[in-house]
Amino acid sequence: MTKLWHYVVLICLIVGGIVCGSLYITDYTTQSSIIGDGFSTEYETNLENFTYNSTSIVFYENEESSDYEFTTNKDAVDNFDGLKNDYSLTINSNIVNGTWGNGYFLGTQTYIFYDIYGETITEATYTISLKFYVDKTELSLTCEDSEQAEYLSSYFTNYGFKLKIKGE
Amino acid sequence: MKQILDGTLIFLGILGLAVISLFCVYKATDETLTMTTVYATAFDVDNSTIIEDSDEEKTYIIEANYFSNSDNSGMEVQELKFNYYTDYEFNELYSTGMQYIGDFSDNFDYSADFGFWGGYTSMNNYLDIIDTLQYMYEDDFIFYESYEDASWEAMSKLDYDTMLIINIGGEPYGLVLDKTVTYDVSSWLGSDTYEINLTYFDLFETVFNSIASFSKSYGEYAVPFKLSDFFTVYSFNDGKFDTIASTDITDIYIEVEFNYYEYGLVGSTQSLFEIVDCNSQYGEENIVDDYWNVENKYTFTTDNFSYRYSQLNDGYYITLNAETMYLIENSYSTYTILYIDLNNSDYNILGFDYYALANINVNEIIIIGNNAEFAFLSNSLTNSSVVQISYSATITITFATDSGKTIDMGVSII
Repeated sequence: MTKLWHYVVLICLIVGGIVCGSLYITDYTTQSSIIGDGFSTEYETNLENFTYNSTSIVFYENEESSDYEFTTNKDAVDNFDGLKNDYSLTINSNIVNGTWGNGYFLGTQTYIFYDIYGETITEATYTISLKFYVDKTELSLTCEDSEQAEYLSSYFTNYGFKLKIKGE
Repeated sequence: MKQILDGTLIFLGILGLAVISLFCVYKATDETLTMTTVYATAFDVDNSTIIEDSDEEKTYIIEANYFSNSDNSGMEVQELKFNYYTDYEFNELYSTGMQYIGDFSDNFDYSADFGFWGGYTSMNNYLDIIDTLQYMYEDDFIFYESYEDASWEAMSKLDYDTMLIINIGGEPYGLVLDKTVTYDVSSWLGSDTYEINLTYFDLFETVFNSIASFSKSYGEYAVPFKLSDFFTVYSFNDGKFDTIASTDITDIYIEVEFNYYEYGLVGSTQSLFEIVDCNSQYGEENIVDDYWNVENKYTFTTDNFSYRYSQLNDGYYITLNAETMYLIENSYSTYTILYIDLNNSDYNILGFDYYALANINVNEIIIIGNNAEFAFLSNSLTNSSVVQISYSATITITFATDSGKTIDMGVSII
């Protein structure tokens, strides 16, 4: 009898080995694959076609400066010449009073908010900065406090933010 | 003979034990099969075509928003939006989209634990299960739809088989997401290739993986995207859609507009769907709405004037320069202030020149200085819209009899 259970154990091990081996053989592995190289970065746009439209300008607090900022990048422009100094930048069809430099524009814009009686509620001022780098164009809007940031965001949601550049 | 049989049984038993042990180790260390795929796109492919709309303010067929929340300022959100028509006559623009709260790539793979003994018996069986798993992501997304000019509404899922009809140069084209991807699969028995159907979840993963690896980092860009990796493109001929001949075009691209932000989403107005997690008021509780009208306020200084020297009075009369005149004439809803600081000018300013502000939309003039005289010459204010002139107490203001000043123009000392 002692011998018999030895045989049973051995046969179980043999059967188990066959089962496990067959499962192992039918188990597969798969390979990851990568197709291509990602989005192209070859795009540039002509200055006359440079626009920026948005209805969701949200200002975030800059913890270092305590200013409130909105910053984004757009495609590079290929024909900007700041020394010509004959461009005009408009936001919602109004020209922004500012300065054109070698590779930048810097201006300020103020909005007066009136209540239904025609009384001034507040004024909100922001600086607008456009920097024309080789590979991108950086747009920044900056205001000084949270109240101005809230009114400006509300204004851009209601009226939109439509930036255009015109060459004269 | 019996000893040989016993020896063989013992050898096979030990071998079986070894196989069982190896299998247990294998299962313990590699109990899941992982199939992670990055389907990025290539641009510099020969014989390719870029589909684009020529309108200045075009509607992109695919738009993407990615609030990465890298600065922990809000919520990490990924959104993919499709704009297309449902009929070849372009009667109505229809938009659908997918929104994921978080980073989908953290969740996206086709891994599956099928249990110790395996729920599959062959690769084909495994691939069938993968086909099912591809749609398990439905519960992780919020889907939206909107007809032209209508507000966005949540929907249970996208219609994955629908044809997206787009307008290219006035001609209808159809897009169907039905492409497959091929996998090389290997095992002890050899290797083989298998195809798996691509889904909108694969497309979503691909777009946002490409955005996250975009070399220009954060920003808002329109970039070519290899449409033909995912969609079969149909042209419209003789009342029906036909596939575009592959001998002419090997790869088809469209421009995808994507917005990739360092910050997180804080309000529903930032969403492509104006809804976040089915909440159209998300983050909008404190939005100010107590104003009725808004004006653009311009303040011009002595830098915005041109100067004419007067030998008789040894000083300068000023007129708005051409650039500033152009600005005022081409602006709307404005409130314009001329701020003349005589103390901070390089010139001895004597006053406004003839016709300096004639027919100009200026609302207010402020003149600052000490012990100076300031004159409004003939027609300097004719037909201007000045309503208020303020000046320092020590300045002497004089108006020519024909300066154009009216009784409606208030004059006061600051």
